Amino acid sequence: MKKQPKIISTAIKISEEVLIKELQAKKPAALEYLYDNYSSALYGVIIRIVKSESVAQEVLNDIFMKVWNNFSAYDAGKGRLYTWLVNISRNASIDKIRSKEIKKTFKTDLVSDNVHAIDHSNSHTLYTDGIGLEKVLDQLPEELRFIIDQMYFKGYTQTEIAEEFSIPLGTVKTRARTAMRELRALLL
Amino acid sequence: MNIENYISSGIIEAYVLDQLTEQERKEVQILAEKHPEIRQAIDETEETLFAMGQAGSVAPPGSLKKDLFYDLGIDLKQNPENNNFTEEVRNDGNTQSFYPYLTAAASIIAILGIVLTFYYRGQWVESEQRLSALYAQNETLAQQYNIVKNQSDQYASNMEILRQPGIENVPLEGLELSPDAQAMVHWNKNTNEVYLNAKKMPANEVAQQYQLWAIVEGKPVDMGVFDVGGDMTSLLKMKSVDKASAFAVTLEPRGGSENPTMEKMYVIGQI
Repeated sequence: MKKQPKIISTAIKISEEVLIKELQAKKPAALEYLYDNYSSALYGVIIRIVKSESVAQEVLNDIFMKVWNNFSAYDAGKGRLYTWLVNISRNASIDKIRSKEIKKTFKTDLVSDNVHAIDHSNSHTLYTDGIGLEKVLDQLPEELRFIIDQMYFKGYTQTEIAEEFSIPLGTVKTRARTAMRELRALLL
Repeated sequence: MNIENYISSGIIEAYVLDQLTEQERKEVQILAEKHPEIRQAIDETEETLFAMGQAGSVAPPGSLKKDLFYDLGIDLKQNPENNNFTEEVRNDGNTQSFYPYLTAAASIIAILGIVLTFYYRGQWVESEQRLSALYAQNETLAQQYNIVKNQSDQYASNMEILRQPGIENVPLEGLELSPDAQAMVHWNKNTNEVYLNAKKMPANEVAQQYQLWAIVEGKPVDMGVFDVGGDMTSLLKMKSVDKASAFAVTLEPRGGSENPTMEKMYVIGQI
């Protein structure tokens, strides 16, 4: 059972080269393929950050607009297509909630109050589609999960986390590494 | 530089999540080119990131896609590449739809059908015309055959008469009135029967009739009247006579006369 995902990921990597060329050539079919294959994963990330379906839809829409109108912003140095997409999605989501100034003292308040609220309360009932990720994250030790939440869903840098929560930077970095390795073991 | 320590430092995760400064990024990229272990660590982290994304997938509402593509001016229904694209990607872009070939084949068959229809219709019309011509020709032949058959039958019966024993043929030659006229009396001396062949006599008018006479002991004896016209193949059966020295034909009023009109004698033949 563990071998199956690897075959899938290889197949996607091969097609990715073609997909990138087609997107550079601005072929509508390529954008549709991209949307059909990546929109759900990106929407799952966005909605966990903005915690509003209407805002999440706005962000996802903007992302695909940007991909279509400005695909030259992507280059292989930014990693895989998905890596780039999820990074710009996360950044756009964070920009969105910051610009809306949901909380003026966003960093301090949100971080301290709502860290666990996202996944533990809302997401289970609201986003049942992505329940698989929550089950996996629940298997992580608390301190590792915390790092993932901050980096993956909040967009905090390792330095920011270290400063904000008074954790030694070295510890944050090691935990980031360990958390990703454990997730890999659980997911692949 | 200890590669393992570098990888364990958490910089790979920061790199993949795009949390490094531009200079730090470049550094990682340069090191990744030199050290396959770093490249591999990046690849693995990217795979994990992707797996996380898939595990956390939430499908956006269908209307979002429709609105997005509408706003971008991409018509999803009229985009012919849509259906082929997924397949194209998986097969490295070599797959071609066979529908265009099918359509082309159907068109060729249709055109061929139309051409053949006109060709065969032309053939049919021509056949129809030839058939009518053949019918007409056949009818003409049938008529001609009937004529010939009648004549043939006449000749056969004439032959029967002429082959009887005791037949004497008396040729009658044309006189001043009609030098070209000829007739022949076939007289059966055993049965006294007389037959006349008047084929070479000129046709008579309706008011008149020819009359055959036999000269018996110097006196003309009536042998019957006849008309000349149309097909005169058949022999005319006249009255019988047991003895005669000559035969002659005169033209008389219709019904015949008691005595021959000498001025109207056409042919005569001595025995």
